Amino acid sequence: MEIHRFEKGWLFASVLLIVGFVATVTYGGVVGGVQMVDDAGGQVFADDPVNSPNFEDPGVYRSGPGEYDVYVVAKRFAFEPGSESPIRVPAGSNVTFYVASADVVHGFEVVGTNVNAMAIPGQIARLEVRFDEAAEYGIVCNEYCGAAHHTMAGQLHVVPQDEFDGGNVTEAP
Amino acid sequence: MTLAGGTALAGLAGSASAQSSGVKPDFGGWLDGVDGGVRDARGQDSVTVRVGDSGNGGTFAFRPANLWIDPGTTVTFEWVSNTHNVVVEDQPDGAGWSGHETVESQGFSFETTFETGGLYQYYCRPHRSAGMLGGIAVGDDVPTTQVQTGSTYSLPSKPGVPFLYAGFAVVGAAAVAVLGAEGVSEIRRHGGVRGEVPETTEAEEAATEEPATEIDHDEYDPWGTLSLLLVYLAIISLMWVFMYFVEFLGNGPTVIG
Repeated sequence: MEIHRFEKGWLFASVLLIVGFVATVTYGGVVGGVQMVDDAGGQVFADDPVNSPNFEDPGVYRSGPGEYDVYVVAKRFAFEPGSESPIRVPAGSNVTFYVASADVVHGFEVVGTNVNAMAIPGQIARLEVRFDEAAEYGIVCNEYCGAAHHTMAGQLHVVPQDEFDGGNVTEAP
Repeated sequence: MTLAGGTALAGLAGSASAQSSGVKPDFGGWLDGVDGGVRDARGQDSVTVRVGDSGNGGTFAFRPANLWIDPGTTVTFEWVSNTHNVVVEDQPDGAGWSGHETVESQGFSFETTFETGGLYQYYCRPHRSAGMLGGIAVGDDVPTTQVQTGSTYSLPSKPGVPFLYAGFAVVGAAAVAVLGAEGVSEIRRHGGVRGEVPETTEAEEAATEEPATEIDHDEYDPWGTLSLLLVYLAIISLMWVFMYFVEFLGNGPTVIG
Protein backbone atom coordinates (compact mmCIF):
# COMPACT_ATOMS: atom_id res chain seq x y z
CA MET A 1 0.00 0.00 0.00
CA GLU A 2 1.27 3.38 -0.94
CA ILE A 3 1.03 5.95 1.83
CA HIS A 4 1.88 9.55 1.12
CA ARG A 5 4.54 10.94 3.45
CA PHE A 6 2.14 13.64 4.66
CA GLU A 7 -0.34 10.94 5.62
CA LYS A 8 2.37 9.10 7.54
CA GLY A 9 3.03 12.35 9.36
CA TRP A 10 -0.52 12.91 10.57
CA LEU A 11 -1.06 9.23 11.40
CA PHE A 12 1.98 9.48 13.66
CA ALA A 13 0.65 12.71 15.18
CA SER A 14 -2.71 11.13 16.04
CA VAL A 15 -1.04 8.11 17.68
CA LEU A 16 1.12 10.55 19.64
CA LEU A 17 -2.03 12.38 20.75
CA ILE A 18 -3.58 9.15 22.11
CA VAL A 19 -0.37 8.32 23.96
CA GLY A 20 -0.46 11.85 25.36
CA PHE A 21 -4.05 11.44 26.60
CA VAL A 22 -3.22 8.19 28.38
CA ALA A 23 -0.06 9.74 29.83
CA THR A 24 -1.93 12.73 31.30
CA VAL A 25 -4.58 10.51 32.91
CA THR A 26 -1.79 8.39 34.38
CA TYR A 27 -0.09 11.57 35.60
CA GLY A 28 -3.35 12.67 37.28
CA GLY A 29 -3.65 9.36 39.09
CA VAL A 30 0.01 8.94 40.11
CA VAL A 31 1.24 12.52 40.66
CA GLY A 32 -2.02 14.41 41.09
CA GLY A 33 -3.49 11.84 43.46
CA VAL A 34 -6.85 11.71 41.69
CA GLN A 35 -8.65 8.53 42.70
CA MET A 36 -11.54 6.79 41.04
CA VAL A 37 -14.72 5.87 42.87
CA ASP A 38 -14.84 2.10 42.86
CA ASP A 39 -16.67 -0.70 44.64
CA ALA A 40 -14.53 -0.39 47.79
CA GLY A 41 -17.52 1.03 49.66
CA GLY A 42 -19.19 -2.36 49.80
CA GLN A 43 -22.84 -3.25 49.51
CA VAL A 44 -26.06 -2.47 51.38
CA PHE A 45 -29.64 -3.68 51.27
CA ALA A 46 -31.03 -2.03 48.14
CA ASP A 47 -34.38 -1.20 49.77
CA ASP A 48 -33.12 -0.28 53.23
CA PRO A 49 -29.51 0.98 53.24
CA VAL A 50 -29.69 2.51 56.71
CA ASN A 51 -30.37 -0.83 58.40
CA SER A 52 -27.55 -2.57 56.56
CA PRO A 53 -24.65 -3.85 58.70
CA ASN A 54 -22.03 -1.65 57.03
CA PHE A 55 -24.04 1.59 56.88
CA GLU A 56 -24.74 4.05 59.68
CA ASP A 57 -27.65 6.36 60.35
CA PRO A 58 -27.39 9.35 58.01
CA GLY A 59 -25.17 12.00 59.57
CA VAL A 60 -21.63 13.18 60.30
CA TYR A 61 -19.31 11.03 62.41
CA ARG A 62 -15.84 11.84 63.77
CA SER A 63 -13.58 8.89 63.06
CA GLY A 64 -10.29 10.45 64.21
CA PRO A 65 -8.49 13.79 64.60
CA GLY A 66 -9.38 15.78 61.49
CA GLU A 67 -11.17 12.75 60.05
CA TYR A 68 -14.88 12.63 59.43
CA ASP A 69 -17.25 10.08 57.94
CA VAL A 70 -20.45 11.36 56.38
CA TYR A 71 -23.20 8.85 55.69
CA VAL A 72 -25.64 10.19 53.11
CA VAL A 73 -28.83 8.53 51.92
CA ALA A 74 -30.05 9.78 48.55
CA LYS A 75 -33.73 9.28 48.01
CA ARG A 76 -36.42 10.82 45.86
CA PHE A 77 -35.99 13.83 46.14
CA ALA A 78 -33.64 14.71 48.93
CA PHE A 79 -30.22 14.05 50.42
CA GLU A 80 -30.26 13.06 54.06
CA PRO A 81 -28.42 14.88 55.50
CA GLY A 82 -27.94 17.81 53.14
CA SER A 83 -31.38 18.83 51.94
CA GLU A 84 -33.23 19.61 55.18
CA SER A 85 -30.11 20.87 56.93
CA PRO A 86 -26.63 21.36 55.46
CA ILE A 87 -23.84 18.85 56.01
CA ARG A 88 -21.32 20.66 58.23
CA VAL A 89 -17.67 19.69 58.42
CA PRO A 90 -14.64 21.75 59.53
CA ALA A 91 -12.03 23.06 57.11
CA GLY A 92 -8.71 21.26 57.06
CA SER A 93 -10.21 17.82 57.47
CA ASN A 94 -10.40 14.60 55.52
CA VAL A 95 -14.01 13.74 54.89
CA THR A 96 -15.13 10.34 53.65
CA PHE A 97 -18.58 10.29 52.13
CA TYR A 98 -20.56 7.07 52.09
CA VAL A 99 -23.46 7.61 49.71
CA ALA A 100 -26.25 5.07 49.27
CA SER A 101 -29.54 5.24 47.43
CA ALA A 102 -32.81 4.22 49.06
CA ASP A 103 -34.75 3.86 45.82
CA VAL A 104 -33.41 4.58 42.33
CA VAL A 105 -30.10 5.66 40.82
CA HIS A 106 -29.10 9.11 42.03
CA GLY A 107 -26.10 11.33 41.54
CA PHE A 108 -24.05 12.95 44.29
CA GLU A 109 -22.16 15.94 42.95
CA VAL A 110 -20.55 18.64 45.04
CA VAL A 111 -20.99 21.50 42.62
CA GLY A 112 -17.84 23.13 41.27
CA THR A 113 -15.52 20.38 42.48
CA ASN A 114 -14.38 16.99 41.25
CA VAL A 115 -16.43 15.27 43.97
CA ASN A 116 -18.98 13.36 41.96
CA ALA A 117 -20.35 9.85 42.22
CA MET A 118 -23.32 7.77 41.22
CA ALA A 119 -25.46 6.32 44.02
CA ILE A 120 -26.51 2.90 42.78
CA PRO A 121 -29.16 1.02 44.79
CA GLY A 122 -27.46 -1.67 46.84
CA GLN A 123 -24.01 -0.12 46.50
CA ILE A 124 -22.11 2.35 48.69
CA ALA A 125 -20.22 5.06 46.84
CA ARG A 126 -17.19 5.83 49.01
CA LEU A 127 -15.37 9.10 48.35
CA GLU A 128 -12.58 10.52 50.47
CA VAL A 129 -12.08 14.25 50.05
CA ARG A 130 -9.72 16.75 51.68
CA PHE A 131 -11.31 20.13 52.39
CA ASP A 132 -8.59 22.71 53.07
CA GLU A 133 -10.61 25.88 52.63
CA ALA A 134 -13.85 26.94 54.26
CA ALA A 135 -16.56 27.18 51.62
CA GLU A 136 -20.22 26.57 51.03
CA TYR A 137 -20.98 24.08 48.32
CA GLY A 138 -24.20 22.94 46.74
CA ILE A 139 -24.92 19.26 46.26
CA VAL A 140 -27.02 18.17 43.29
CA CYS A 141 -28.41 14.94 41.98
CA ASN A 142 -27.19 14.56 38.42
CA GLU A 143 -29.01 11.34 37.50
CA TYR A 144 -32.64 11.72 36.45
CA CYS A 145 -34.59 10.14 39.31
CA GLY A 146 -38.22 11.18 38.83
CA ALA A 147 -40.75 13.96 38.63
CA ALA A 148 -39.00 16.35 41.02
CA HIS A 149 -35.42 15.41 40.14
CA HIS A 150 -34.69 19.03 39.30
CA THR A 151 -35.35 20.03 42.91
CA MET A 152 -33.13 17.37 44.46
CA ALA A 153 -30.32 19.36 45.99
CA GLY A 154 -28.50 19.89 49.26
CA GLN A 155 -25.84 21.96 50.97
CA LEU A 156 -22.34 21.19 52.19
CA HIS A 157 -20.84 23.78 54.53
CA VAL A 158 -17.12 23.55 55.15
CA VAL A 159 -16.84 25.93 58.10
CA PRO A 160 -13.67 27.49 59.53
CA GLN A 161 -12.20 25.34 62.28
CA ASP A 162 -12.70 27.94 65.03
CA GLU A 163 -16.37 28.25 64.13
CA PHE A 164 -17.00 24.53 64.07
CA ASP A 165 -18.88 23.53 67.22
CA GLY A 166 -19.32 19.89 66.26
CA GLY A 167 -22.93 20.06 67.31
CA ASN A 168 -23.98 17.87 64.43
CA VAL A 169 -21.21 15.33 64.88
CA THR A 170 -21.48 11.89 66.44
CA GLU A 171 -18.41 10.02 67.62
CA ALA A 172 -17.74 7.11 65.32
CA PRO A 173 -19.03 3.82 66.74
CA MET B 1 -66.85 32.64 44.69
CA THR B 2 -70.31 31.09 45.02
CA LEU B 3 -70.23 30.93 48.76
CA ALA B 4 -73.92 31.43 49.45
CA GLY B 5 -75.08 29.46 46.41
CA GLY B 6 -72.78 26.56 47.10
CA THR B 7 -73.81 26.34 50.71
CA ALA B 8 -77.49 26.56 49.81
CA LEU B 9 -77.10 23.90 47.15
CA ALA B 10 -75.23 21.61 49.47
CA GLY B 11 -77.81 22.16 52.14
CA LEU B 12 -80.64 21.33 49.78
CA ALA B 13 -79.04 18.23 48.45
CA GLY B 14 -78.12 16.99 51.89
CA SER B 15 -74.70 15.82 52.97
CA ALA B 16 -74.94 12.25 51.67
CA SER B 17 -75.50 13.24 48.08
CA ALA B 18 -73.56 16.45 48.30
CA GLN B 19 -71.14 15.33 45.61
CA SER B 20 -73.91 15.48 43.08
CA SER B 21 -74.47 19.11 44.02
CA GLY B 22 -71.53 19.82 41.74
CA VAL B 23 -69.46 22.02 44.00
CA LYS B 24 -66.20 21.46 45.81
CA PRO B 25 -64.22 23.60 48.24
CA ASP B 26 -62.20 26.30 46.51
CA PHE B 27 -58.65 26.50 47.82
CA GLY B 28 -57.82 29.48 45.65
CA GLY B 29 -55.40 27.83 43.25
CA TRP B 30 -53.58 25.78 45.93
CA LEU B 31 -54.74 22.52 44.37
CA ASP B 32 -54.57 23.54 40.72
CA GLY B 33 -53.13 20.68 38.70
CA VAL B 34 -52.72 18.49 41.79
CA ASP B 35 -53.66 14.82 41.55
CA GLY B 36 -55.51 12.97 44.31
CA GLY B 37 -59.14 13.68 43.63
CA VAL B 38 -62.04 15.33 45.41
CA ARG B 39 -64.13 13.88 48.20
CA ASP B 40 -67.08 15.35 50.02
CA ALA B 41 -67.17 13.47 53.29
CA ARG B 42 -69.51 15.75 55.18
CA GLY B 43 -71.80 13.72 57.39
CA GLN B 44 -69.12 11.17 58.19
CA ASP B 45 -67.40 10.84 61.56
CA SER B 46 -64.06 9.67 60.26
CA VAL B 47 -62.20 9.85 56.96
CA THR B 48 -58.90 8.45 55.78
CA VAL B 49 -56.40 10.34 53.64
CA ARG B 50 -53.89 8.12 51.89
CA VAL B 51 -50.42 9.71 52.03
CA GLY B 52 -48.16 8.85 49.12
CA ASP B 53 -50.83 7.43 46.85
CA SER B 54 -50.17 7.24 43.13
CA GLY B 55 -50.36 10.55 41.32
CA ASN B 56 -48.30 13.64 40.49
CA GLY B 57 -45.77 11.61 38.52
CA GLY B 58 -45.13 8.87 41.09
CA THR B 59 -46.36 8.00 44.56
CA PHE B 60 -46.68 11.66 45.40
CA ALA B 61 -50.37 12.29 46.03
CA PHE B 62 -52.64 12.78 49.01
CA ARG B 63 -55.88 10.93 48.26
CA PRO B 64 -58.28 12.64 48.46
CA ALA B 65 -56.35 15.85 47.90
CA ASN B 66 -59.47 17.99 48.17
CA LEU B 67 -61.42 16.83 51.21
CA TRP B 68 -64.60 18.37 52.62
CA ILE B 69 -65.69 17.41 56.13
CA ASP B 70 -67.91 18.54 58.96
CA PRO B 71 -66.43 20.08 62.11
CA GLY B 72 -65.55 17.35 64.58
CA THR B 73 -64.64 14.80 61.92
CA THR B 74 -61.55 12.72 62.61
CA VAL B 75 -59.17 12.47 59.67
CA THR B 76 -56.66 9.62 59.66
CA PHE B 77 -53.54 10.15 57.56
CA GLU B 78 -52.30 6.77 56.45
CA TRP B 79 -48.87 6.38 54.81
CA VAL B 80 -49.08 4.05 51.81
CA SER B 81 -45.56 4.74 50.52
CA ASN B 82 -42.26 5.90 51.98
CA THR B 83 -40.68 9.26 52.79
CA HIS B 84 -43.55 11.65 53.27
CA ASN B 85 -44.64 14.18 55.85
CA VAL B 86 -47.56 16.54 56.38
CA VAL B 87 -46.60 20.20 56.73
CA VAL B 88 -49.27 22.82 57.33
CA GLU B 89 -49.13 25.70 54.86
CA ASP B 90 -52.16 27.63 56.02
CA GLN B 91 -55.09 27.11 58.38
CA PRO B 92 -57.95 29.12 59.86
CA ASP B 93 -57.25 31.54 62.71
CA GLY B 94 -57.49 29.74 66.01
CA ALA B 95 -56.90 26.30 64.56
CA GLY B 96 -53.81 24.70 66.02
CA TRP B 97 -53.15 21.89 63.60
CA SER B 98 -49.46 21.03 63.47
CA GLY B 99 -49.55 18.28 60.83
CA HIS B 100 -46.72 15.78 61.11
CA GLU B 101 -43.35 17.22 60.06
CA THR B 102 -41.29 14.12 60.72
CA VAL B 103 -40.75 12.18 57.54
CA GLU B 104 -42.39 8.78 57.89
CA SER B 105 -42.70 5.59 55.87
CA GLN B 106 -45.33 3.13 54.82
CA GLY B 107 -47.45 1.81 57.68
CA PHE B 108 -47.33 4.99 59.75
CA SER B 109 -50.53 6.85 60.49
CA PHE B 110 -51.80 9.64 62.70
CA GLU B 111 -55.17 11.23 63.18
CA THR B 112 -56.48 14.70 63.79
CA THR B 113 -59.95 15.90 64.69
CA PHE B 114 -60.78 19.15 62.94
CA GLU B 115 -63.03 21.40 65.04
CA THR B 116 -62.40 24.87 63.62
CA GLY B 117 -64.22 25.59 60.40
CA GLY B 118 -62.38 26.92 57.36
CA LEU B 119 -59.72 25.92 54.85
CA TYR B 120 -56.59 23.94 55.78
CA GLN B 121 -53.75 23.71 53.26
CA TYR B 122 -50.90 21.24 53.70
CA TYR B 123 -48.14 19.62 51.69
CA CYS B 124 -45.39 16.98 51.82
CA ARG B 125 -42.02 18.72 52.09
CA PRO B 126 -39.88 16.14 50.22
CA HIS B 127 -42.34 16.14 47.29
CA ARG B 128 -43.83 19.61 47.34
CA SER B 129 -42.24 20.43 44.01
CA ALA B 130 -43.76 17.29 42.51
CA GLY B 131 -47.18 18.67 43.45
CA MET B 132 -47.86 16.69 46.62
CA LEU B 133 -50.34 19.16 48.10
CA GLY B 134 -53.61 18.70 49.90
CA GLY B 135 -56.47 20.68 51.32
CA ILE B 136 -59.18 20.06 53.88
CA ALA B 137 -62.31 22.20 54.09
CA VAL B 138 -64.16 22.05 57.38
CA GLY B 139 -67.79 23.06 57.69
CA ASP B 140 -70.27 24.52 55.26
CA ASP B 141 -69.01 28.09 55.50
CA VAL B 142 -66.23 27.71 52.95
CA PRO B 143 -65.83 29.11 49.42
CA THR B 144 -66.75 26.62 46.73
CA THR B 145 -66.32 26.23 43.02
CA GLN B 146 -68.00 24.10 40.37
CA VAL B 147 -66.77 20.54 39.96
CA GLN B 148 -65.81 20.07 36.35
CA THR B 149 -66.89 16.76 34.93
CA GLY B 150 -65.69 15.13 31.76
CA SER B 151 -63.61 17.09 29.33
CA THR B 152 -62.58 20.48 30.55
CA TYR B 153 -61.88 21.69 27.04
CA SER B 154 -64.42 23.69 25.08
CA LEU B 155 -64.19 25.93 22.05
CA PRO B 156 -63.91 29.61 22.88
CA SER B 157 -67.28 31.25 22.74
CA LYS B 158 -66.27 34.79 21.95
CA PRO B 159 -68.93 36.81 20.09
CA GLY B 160 -66.81 37.27 16.96
CA VAL B 161 -65.97 33.61 16.49
CA PRO B 162 -69.06 32.51 14.45
CA PHE B 163 -68.44 35.38 12.03
CA LEU B 164 -64.83 34.31 11.74
CA TYR B 165 -65.91 30.75 10.92
CA ALA B 166 -68.44 32.09 8.34
CA GLY B 167 -65.66 34.18 6.81
CA PHE B 168 -63.38 31.13 6.57
CA ALA B 169 -66.22 29.17 4.92
CA VAL B 170 -66.89 31.87 2.31
CA VAL B 171 -63.21 32.32 1.46
CA GLY B 172 -62.74 28.55 1.31
CA ALA B 173 -65.74 28.01 -0.97
CA ALA B 174 -64.61 30.82 -3.27
CA ALA B 175 -61.11 29.33 -3.47
CA VAL B 176 -62.49 25.88 -4.29
CA ALA B 177 -64.76 27.33 -7.00
CA VAL B 178 -62.05 29.40 -8.71
CA LEU B 179 -59.29 26.77 -8.54
CA GLY B 180 -61.70 23.96 -9.49
CA ALA B 181 -62.92 25.84 -12.57
CA GLU B 182 -59.34 26.60 -13.55
CA GLY B 183 -58.45 22.91 -13.17
CA VAL B 184 -61.41 21.71 -15.20
CA SER B 185 -60.66 24.11 -18.07
CA GLU B 186 -56.99 23.07 -18.01
CA ILE B 187 -57.96 19.39 -18.30
CA ARG B 188 -60.27 20.22 -21.24
CA ARG B 189 -57.55 22.23 -22.95
CA HIS B 190 -55.30 19.14 -22.89
CA GLY B 191 -57.93 16.93 -24.44
CA GLY B 192 -59.74 15.39 -21.47
CA VAL B 193 -58.69 13.38 -18.44
CA ARG B 194 -56.41 11.03 -20.39
CA GLY B 195 -54.78 13.90 -22.26
CA GLU B 196 -52.11 13.71 -24.96
CA VAL B 197 -48.98 11.64 -24.56
CA PRO B 198 -46.09 14.08 -23.96
CA GLU B 199 -43.13 13.93 -26.34
CA THR B 200 -40.02 12.19 -25.06
CA THR B 201 -36.53 13.57 -25.62
CA GLU B 202 -33.16 11.85 -25.32
CA ALA B 203 -30.89 13.26 -22.60
CA GLU B 204 -27.44 14.27 -23.85
CA GLU B 205 -24.30 13.24 -21.99
CA ALA B 206 -21.90 15.97 -20.94
CA ALA B 207 -18.60 16.02 -22.76
CA THR B 208 -15.65 14.56 -20.84
CA GLU B 209 -12.24 16.20 -20.75
CA GLU B 210 -8.95 14.39 -20.84
CA PRO B 211 -6.50 15.38 -18.05
CA ALA B 212 -3.87 17.83 -19.21
CA THR B 213 -1.03 16.04 -17.35
CA GLU B 214 -0.85 13.02 -15.05
CA ILE B 215 1.36 13.02 -11.93
CA ASP B 216 2.52 10.25 -9.55
CA HIS B 217 1.13 9.56 -6.11
CA ASP B 218 3.95 11.31 -4.25
CA GLU B 219 4.34 14.21 -6.64
CA TYR B 220 1.36 16.06 -5.26
CA ASP B 221 1.70 17.62 -1.79
CA PRO B 222 -1.63 18.46 -0.10
CA TRP B 223 -0.35 21.45 1.83
CA GLY B 224 -3.88 22.75 2.45
CA THR B 225 -5.03 19.49 4.10
CA LEU B 226 -1.82 19.33 6.13
CA SER B 227 -2.17 22.85 7.48
CA LEU B 228 -5.84 22.27 8.32
CA LEU B 229 -4.92 19.09 10.24
CA LEU B 230 -2.15 20.93 12.08
CA VAL B 231 -4.65 23.59 13.13
CA TYR B 232 -7.03 20.84 14.37
CA LEU B 233 -4.17 19.18 16.25
CA ALA B 234 -3.28 22.46 17.93
CA ILE B 235 -6.91 23.08 18.93
CA ILE B 236 -7.35 19.56 20.35
CA SER B 237 -4.06 19.75 22.26
CA LEU B 238 -4.95 23.13 23.74
CA MET B 239 -8.44 21.97 24.69
CA TRP B 240 -7.04 18.86 26.31
CA VAL B 241 -4.55 20.87 28.35
CA PHE B 242 -7.22 23.31 29.47
CA MET B 243 -9.78 20.60 30.19
CA TYR B 244 -7.53 18.25 32.12
CA PHE B 245 -4.92 20.44 33.79
CA VAL B 246 -6.91 23.64 34.31
CA GLU B 247 -10.56 22.57 34.53
CA PHE B 248 -10.10 19.17 36.17
CA LEU B 249 -6.86 19.10 38.17
CA GLY B 250 -7.20 22.77 39.11
CA ASN B 251 -10.77 22.31 40.29
CA GLY B 252 -10.42 21.04 43.83
CA PRO B 253 -11.39 19.45 46.08
CA THR B 254 -10.81 16.14 44.38
CA VAL B 255 -11.56 12.58 45.39
CA ILE B 256 -8.35 11.34 47.00
CA GLY B 257 -9.32 7.92 48.21
